[in-house]
Amino acid sequence: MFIFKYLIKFILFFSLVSSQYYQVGDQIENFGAPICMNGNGDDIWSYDQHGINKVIFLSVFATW
Amino acid sequence: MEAPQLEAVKQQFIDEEVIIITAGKSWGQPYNCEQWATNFGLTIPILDDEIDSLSSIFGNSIPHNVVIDGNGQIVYTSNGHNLAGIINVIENSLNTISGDYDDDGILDDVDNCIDVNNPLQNDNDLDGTGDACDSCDNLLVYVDGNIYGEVDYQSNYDIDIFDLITLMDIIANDDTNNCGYEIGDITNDGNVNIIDAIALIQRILYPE
Repeated sequence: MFIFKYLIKFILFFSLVSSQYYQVGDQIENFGAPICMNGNGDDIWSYDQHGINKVIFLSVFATW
Repeated sequence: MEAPQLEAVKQQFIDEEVIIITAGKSWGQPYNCEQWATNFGLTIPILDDEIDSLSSIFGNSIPHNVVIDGNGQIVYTSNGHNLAGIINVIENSLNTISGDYDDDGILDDVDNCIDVNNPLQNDNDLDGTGDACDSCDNLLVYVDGNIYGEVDYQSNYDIDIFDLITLMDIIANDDTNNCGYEIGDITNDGNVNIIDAIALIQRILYPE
């Protein structure tokens, strides 16, 4: 019973943590971020302004 | 995804309605954003994700890749370097681009409201933006130097100091989304700048 209770808590916690990210099949809402290079004059990239009716490939990286 | 791979993907789909963007975080270890672009020859837009505005919705693993189809649906989201898989997903997503996003029968290239269904394309103030998505009334309100947009119940207006302040604010902040910007080109030279402010001052001081 003790292990079962912790298993339920773990599943609930994992569900809460993982459910915040978009998954395959999800419909996105507007998102965006400041452009720091190659913006062609735009300061902000947003899906509603630049991405509607286009295929978007976004790659997030870190410099380390 | 490695920088050279991103440029290769860009070249592969350069003639398609595909947008390749990348977002960096943890700048300065050792490169800042500009150095990252220069050192790796990146020509695609680089976004600043230092505050996790993208990582917090797509995933925190690094690198993380996302593909969104023409309908705004996530069709790929995963970490790693699966270039072949990503290219395959992009190719399969190309058929989701309709060329008529709002299904109003008017192709996006000539649609005066791309994301609002307006088959009649009404544009009463003839500013190029359809009435269905035009928040700036250039027929009755934002006309003839009334940059502040103040009118009375009979659509009468004065050109005064408030219009000048608004124009100066628009110029200082390059606020192209302001309704007053559309009529801010007082001198009709194609630019909204300090010359227009001077011309507006003259109109306020010496009304015709």
